Amino acid sequence: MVETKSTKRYEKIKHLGEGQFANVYKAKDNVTGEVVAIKKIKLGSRHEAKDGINRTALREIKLLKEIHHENIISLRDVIGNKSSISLVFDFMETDLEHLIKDTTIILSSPHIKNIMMQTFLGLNFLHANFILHRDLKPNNLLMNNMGRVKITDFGLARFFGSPSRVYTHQVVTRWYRSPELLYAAKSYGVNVDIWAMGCIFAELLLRNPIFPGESDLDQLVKIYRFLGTPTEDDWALMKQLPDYVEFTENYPRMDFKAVFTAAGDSAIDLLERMFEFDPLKRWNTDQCLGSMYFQIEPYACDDSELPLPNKNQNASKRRRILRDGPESPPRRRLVFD
Amino acid sequence: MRECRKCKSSEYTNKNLIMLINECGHPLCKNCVDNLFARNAAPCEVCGKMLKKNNFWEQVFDDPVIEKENFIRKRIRKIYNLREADFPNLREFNDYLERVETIVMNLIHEEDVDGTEKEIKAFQEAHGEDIERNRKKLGPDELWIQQQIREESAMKARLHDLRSTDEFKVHQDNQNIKEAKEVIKELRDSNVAAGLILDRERKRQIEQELEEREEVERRKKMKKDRKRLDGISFAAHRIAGRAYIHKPVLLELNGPPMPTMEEIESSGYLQWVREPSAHRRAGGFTSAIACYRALLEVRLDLFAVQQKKSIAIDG
Repeated sequence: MVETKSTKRYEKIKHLGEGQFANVYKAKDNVTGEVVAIKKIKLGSRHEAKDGINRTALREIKLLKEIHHENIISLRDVIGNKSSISLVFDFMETDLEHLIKDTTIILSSPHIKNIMMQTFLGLNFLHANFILHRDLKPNNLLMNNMGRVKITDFGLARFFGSPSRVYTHQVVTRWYRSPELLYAAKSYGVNVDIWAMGCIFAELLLRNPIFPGESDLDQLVKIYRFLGTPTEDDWALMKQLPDYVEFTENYPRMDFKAVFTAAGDSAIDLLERMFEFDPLKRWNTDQCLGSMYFQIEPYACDDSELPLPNKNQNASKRRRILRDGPESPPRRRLVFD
Repeated sequence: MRECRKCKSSEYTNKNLIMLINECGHPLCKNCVDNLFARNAAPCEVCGKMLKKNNFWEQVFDDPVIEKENFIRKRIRKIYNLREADFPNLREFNDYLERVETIVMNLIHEEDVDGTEKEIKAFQEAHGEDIERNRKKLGPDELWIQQQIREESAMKARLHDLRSTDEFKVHQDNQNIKEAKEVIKELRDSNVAAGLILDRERKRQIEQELEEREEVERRKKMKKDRKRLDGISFAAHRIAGRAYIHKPVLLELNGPPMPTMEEIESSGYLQWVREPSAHRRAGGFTSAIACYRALLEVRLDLFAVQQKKSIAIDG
């Protein structure tokens, strides 16, 4: 590490955004001249900080210090202050949420394959190291201007595979939460991340969230309307879950080919394996990466060919926002009935 | 003549009189401001509005109303910064400009101030995104100015290029003439056959040309490579344009080899592990995973040699 006083080393350029736990700044590293992102953790309430430091920050530092992979955000530095703690990351141009929402961009199948590939490689590495991410969503997949996709936000991540540990089911943003979590499973494995990956895959294909549930129960309804209500054959042990509720209505399973018109057979097959109801039957990252989808044409494109969202959005879009107000983005709702 | 309404000092009595004014449009001289606002905030002498000392600025225009208008316009301009491109047609844009004027006038003449403020707030909330974007982006006027500057500098650069290439050409011509003269001299003086000398000369020229072309190519390639290298990092997988055959990641064990998942399940490892309850298995938890992890953690760095041990004992 270069012997420079950390506070002087980085020069703030601008404020990028504010999250629940942190403020994010774009900054310049005066030693290497590179642009970095600095996540300044908020102190939080006394309850959150009772261990001396915010727990999410601690998790993030603990995990990221250990893992180094191309498709996982790298923690460059940690700056401790009297009253705050800041994490220094690579600067990333955009995230997948912006990419998906930008209607001027066309995502072709090579693009989607590349994005899925990169994300799966990152996730595979995490799972091989017995780490669950537990908060995968387009928002947490960042992309830099070279088209490198990196997984970020390890605030909820933790090790898995301890036999006696009980985990909370209140993880993962609701739209990407798997059925077993919605039924309050207290122990789970890599399967929750795979389900979220399936949602991301579907979202890349549809350009809309596939299960935009408004409450936990509504989330299940949205899932079942699409995939059909699971039977005992699909998921033998589901009645054992703590919050299991019986659905009286039997939704039929929708035809994937009719919904994902642009996707090939191999893509649909992969998606179906990721949307298995039974976590024990759901594929893991090794199986997904070995799927035919990644082995047949059209092959994934080069990273540098991935599109970047347009910063100066075109006038027509702006006009629409102005007329409808910013609260109602131009989003086509999926109707499954 | 300017006069402070509080202390009645004017430019006649005080040569260094500085008039300050605040958002309510009631000017005071600097001395009075210093006295009245010693604690930073105080009500205006005339209208009773709470003012802050820091917000006073020097009065430039004699008419305080104009100062007030300027202040209000500056403030409104930050919020109402939409452009023509933000509207579907010219008519709506004009309506919007008209509305802005009305708001400014309302604020200046203090008519329906509460209602107007509410409207401004509502507008700000409704168009927060657009305002933020426009604030960062340059308008057509600024863009025009920038383009003019760019064009001017480009023209200068072109002129400079032209001049230098002229010089280069003259130099090149001189060189060529000199070389030609040398060849003629050789032809005249030496005993070698004329054809041979000319052949040699031609060959030299062709070689020189080829070299130049290669140099250009090389420089181009270097530039391209550098551009690429700047962006990429050490990619673990180059996956573009071909089938991807997955090989599971192997962790550096530094210990005895791991049994595979199938071996764990089939060869009796699991009989030493407590069978997880049904509700745990329903969530996707299997004892094989726990077993695998435990076996892995046992093996990790088992063969690691503790170095500097002897030194530790000596010390």
